Amino acid sequence: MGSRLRDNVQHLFECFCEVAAPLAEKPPWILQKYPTSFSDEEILKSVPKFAYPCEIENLMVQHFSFVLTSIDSKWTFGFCRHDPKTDTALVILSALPWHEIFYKLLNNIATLMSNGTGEDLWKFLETVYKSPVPIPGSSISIPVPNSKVNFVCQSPKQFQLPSIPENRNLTEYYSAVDAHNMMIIFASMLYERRIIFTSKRLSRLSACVQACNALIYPMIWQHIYIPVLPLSLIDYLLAPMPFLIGVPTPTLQRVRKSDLGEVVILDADVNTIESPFQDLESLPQDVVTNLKKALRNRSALLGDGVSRAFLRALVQLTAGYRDALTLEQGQSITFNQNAFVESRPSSMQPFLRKMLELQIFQQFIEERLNMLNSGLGFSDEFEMEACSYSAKSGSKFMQQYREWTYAMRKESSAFFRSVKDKANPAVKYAVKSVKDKGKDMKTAYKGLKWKGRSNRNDTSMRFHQPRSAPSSPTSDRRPIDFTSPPKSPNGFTATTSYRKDLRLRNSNFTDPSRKQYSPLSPSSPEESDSPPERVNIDLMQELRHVIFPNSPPVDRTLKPVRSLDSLRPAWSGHIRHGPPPSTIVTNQTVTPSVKTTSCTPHSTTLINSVTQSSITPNTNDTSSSQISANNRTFLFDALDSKQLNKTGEETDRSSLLPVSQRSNDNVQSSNFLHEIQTAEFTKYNALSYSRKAGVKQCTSDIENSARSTKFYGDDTTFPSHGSDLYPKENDPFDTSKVFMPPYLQPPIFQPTNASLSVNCHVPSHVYNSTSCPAYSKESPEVPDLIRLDSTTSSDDFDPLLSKSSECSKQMTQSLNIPEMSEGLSNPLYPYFQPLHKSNDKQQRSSDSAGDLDLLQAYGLDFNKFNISNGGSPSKNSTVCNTSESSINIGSTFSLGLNTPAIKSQNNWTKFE
Amino acid sequence: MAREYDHLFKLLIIGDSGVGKSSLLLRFADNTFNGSYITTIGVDFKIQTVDVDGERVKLQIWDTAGQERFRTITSTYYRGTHGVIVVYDVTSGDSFANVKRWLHEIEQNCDVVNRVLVGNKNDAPNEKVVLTEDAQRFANQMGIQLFETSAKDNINVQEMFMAITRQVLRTKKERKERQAIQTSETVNLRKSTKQHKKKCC
Repeated sequence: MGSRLRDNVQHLFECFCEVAAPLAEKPPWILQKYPTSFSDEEILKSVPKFAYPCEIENLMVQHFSFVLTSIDSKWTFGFCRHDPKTDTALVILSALPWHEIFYKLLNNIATLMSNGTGEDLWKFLETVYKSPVPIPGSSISIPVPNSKVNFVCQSPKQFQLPSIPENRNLTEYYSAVDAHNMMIIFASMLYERRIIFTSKRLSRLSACVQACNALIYPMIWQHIYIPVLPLSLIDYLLAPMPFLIGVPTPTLQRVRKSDLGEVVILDADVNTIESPFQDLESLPQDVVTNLKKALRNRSALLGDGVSRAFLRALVQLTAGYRDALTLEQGQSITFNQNAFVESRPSSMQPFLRKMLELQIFQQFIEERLNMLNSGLGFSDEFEMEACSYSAKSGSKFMQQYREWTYAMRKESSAFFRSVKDKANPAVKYAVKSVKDKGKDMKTAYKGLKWKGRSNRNDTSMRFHQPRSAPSSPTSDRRPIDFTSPPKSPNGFTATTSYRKDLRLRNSNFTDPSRKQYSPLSPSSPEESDSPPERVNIDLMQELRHVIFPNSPPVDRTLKPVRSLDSLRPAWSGHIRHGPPPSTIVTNQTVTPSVKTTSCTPHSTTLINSVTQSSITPNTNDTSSSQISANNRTFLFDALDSKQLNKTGEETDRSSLLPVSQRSNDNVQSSNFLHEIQTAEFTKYNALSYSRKAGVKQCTSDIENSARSTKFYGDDTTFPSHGSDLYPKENDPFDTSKVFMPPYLQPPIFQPTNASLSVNCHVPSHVYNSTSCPAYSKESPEVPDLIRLDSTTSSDDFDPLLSKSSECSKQMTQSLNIPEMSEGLSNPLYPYFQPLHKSNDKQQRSSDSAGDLDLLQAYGLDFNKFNISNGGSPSKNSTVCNTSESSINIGSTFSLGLNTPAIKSQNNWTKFE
Repeated sequence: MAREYDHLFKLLIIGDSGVGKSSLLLRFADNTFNGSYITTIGVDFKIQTVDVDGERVKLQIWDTAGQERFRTITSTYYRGTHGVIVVYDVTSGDSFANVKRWLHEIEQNCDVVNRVLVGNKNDAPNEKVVLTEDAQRFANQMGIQLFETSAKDNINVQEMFMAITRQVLRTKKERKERQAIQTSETVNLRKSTKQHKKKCC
């Protein structure tokens, strides 16, 4: 597999060393280490060399990182701290690339060494060493002896692009190297050149190397990778193979340029590049143009703007890989290189042919194929972006898909039946409640119901088969189930298929808006070229098709919802499986707050995202608002176990009903249907889950919803709790303070929060960070709907920020599909997954920044939303929020309906 | 400053980890006490200067970690090299399968002409899995030389390195000659035209 991060990380760090500075002729040596039992001689021999890679001007505290590569090509990160007050360097070796966290830990250790006793230090190290590696998005807090601060280790979310300024490496890289040079390096990496970075400062050097590696995500550098090269290894610059090496300037000066051969050299101190190649020029020009455009917009580059810009460039280059996947009957999925190249615009083809010869690309394809063939669903930022991209670039191979779908349907019918049986009671129940409240909607509801059922059948069959554990005890009411099935069989994300489907459908109806969706890339016309006999299948689309075989045009509106729903089961299943009990609790708690109705899966997601977002504060001085958000997040954690459990559990199913009803009323009849379906699905999930895992955690959605209701009442208390519980923000040792100019907190979260707060009830505001993720997830659907129906303009590849984020969110849900674990190593580093928690993956990238914007871009105005829903502001808003945040589909649906709701309704009726 | 060699060649040694690449390198290297870095930075190289027909050839042989994770080793990996030493373990069928795949890949996509196939650990007949005939057939098919070696017992190691070195040297000379011919042809043409002119004059 392509990942070079280790899978089974047992300890936060592997070894701590104190290294004495070199004296005259005496090379640096290790003074002490913890654990003392650490005995990897090769590593211990190397550490002093890497800690003092060259003569160092020790004028200020400096952090840098080095990387050791083991025989299996996996990386061990060495985090290093030099302090002018001492003549030793502190080094932490870890398999985890969590720079910010370990720099902080080093600071804590440094204070302990200067103030505390040796015993304190050892005890502290022992505690940290023995602490379990937090699952993605969660954190552990370890008190530092003799001080009021805690060492807080927040595991990065799984799917998260490095953002500025939270990510120190990227921030450093971005401030040292201008956009153009970043692009050149990016291009050179794509050509797998021999690349040297140089700087006088080790911190900058290592940061730049690490950052630019993160920018080729989802690719992973497969070659020699030495962020800081010790002087003694200078000869390794002669390597004929591709490499990415950081060389301290004094070291590089000792090398004869003529010996280096053809090499790209970036001087990060003066921002210059020497390159014998024209790599940037030989990238497809539209890709470069888009990238340039994205990087020119400086205001949008805070947060993950830079990362996303490069990701989109890669998506534009490689997203077509999905179209080149072929499935021979009874065989595994394979990648057809020629089809890949030929399916793309001719302007890109020369480069794509070259790209096939890239090790990083081969490994990327390998990895994806492995996951697909092993039946693992997967999703990550890349797939999300790819989704949005492919949605734009048109549908292909419809016919083949259809055939495929048909075959699949047949097979899956049996499975579906069983699902249906299980789900029925829940459905009935849901229907009842809906009926009571939603008299007005009855007509619409009926139609929906009918539709939903038929759809559901197809989908559910499909999904459940491949999926190992479609257990979601929860409250997914949505037809989500449908979508998820497609994923599992092929490993594709439902989202993608869904999008394509939409497109296809559009084409069926002469929809005037269709033109707007014309593929950005010229590829679309060419797509038709592929020979019909080839079993080249866009799996996603096919699945989609299967799910919604004969949906009438009206369906469009609903589809998005379904697709979202499909994602959901995965989430819920996820939740159940992996997380340790505590985690689960957290999830539950969160859920209620976010959704009124049973949105368990969603809520989990939200929680995760929240937790993840909390990482930000650690990094550096954050604006007060950010901090508060974090505090809140923490609150959740704390609350989850304490308050939420107590309050939430008391509530019964009965409470659930009212809530759902309320929301239904507001949202519209369509929601009803969805809810019902979801409930059904949930039920099924719960059953299966309980069967399999026998976990108590699978509380029904109903319970969750009840809790959520309760939760709202409590919300006010949160803030205070949060602050009390997590004083960590005050951490004086924040490394960022030392080295980096204090960055203003990126406004990413704030806009979202603000808008939310305006529209939403208090609880949502409290969770603002939480809610953002939720929104984003849901939002994808919304935009789609809007896009299909009314969007006029599409910026070609460069989707609106909002769009992309939405897409990504969608995908996120799919991410959680059980089991996708190691395969998807996120090169970005945030992605690490402790063994025991492999299941709990639902991490949502909280790039909530664009969410609101996106929604607005699509014409969704939350304010309007509320109004349209009418009703008393407080109640209604709450409901809306809940529904939105709760589950993508439901909320999405409601959003979409707000304005166009009536329209869609009409359509449905007609069809019926 | 006079160079201490006439030619500098950079070679790659590829093969699964565990097939004995490092041992082969150690056998070959000038100074065996110089530690290996393959386990710390994932790359290692050894240097040896050999004498081929009176010419001093400095060889750098490079090894990287974890190649077995590559289903295919793409051309970018070989881009800067003069030759490739492809090693499998005669006691491991898997290692041979990998090697076959990689060689096919090289054949199709890479310009690397100079290759040798090496079956290492050829010192325990009982454990031998990859038959010499099979390997030889494959080598013939690929048009490359096969060496069965034992780094442990130092069998055939020097021969193998000398063979690849000669091969690389020969390729280099052929290329030079070709270039020389091309340039001389152009020169000749010019000369001849000049001469013609002269004659005419």
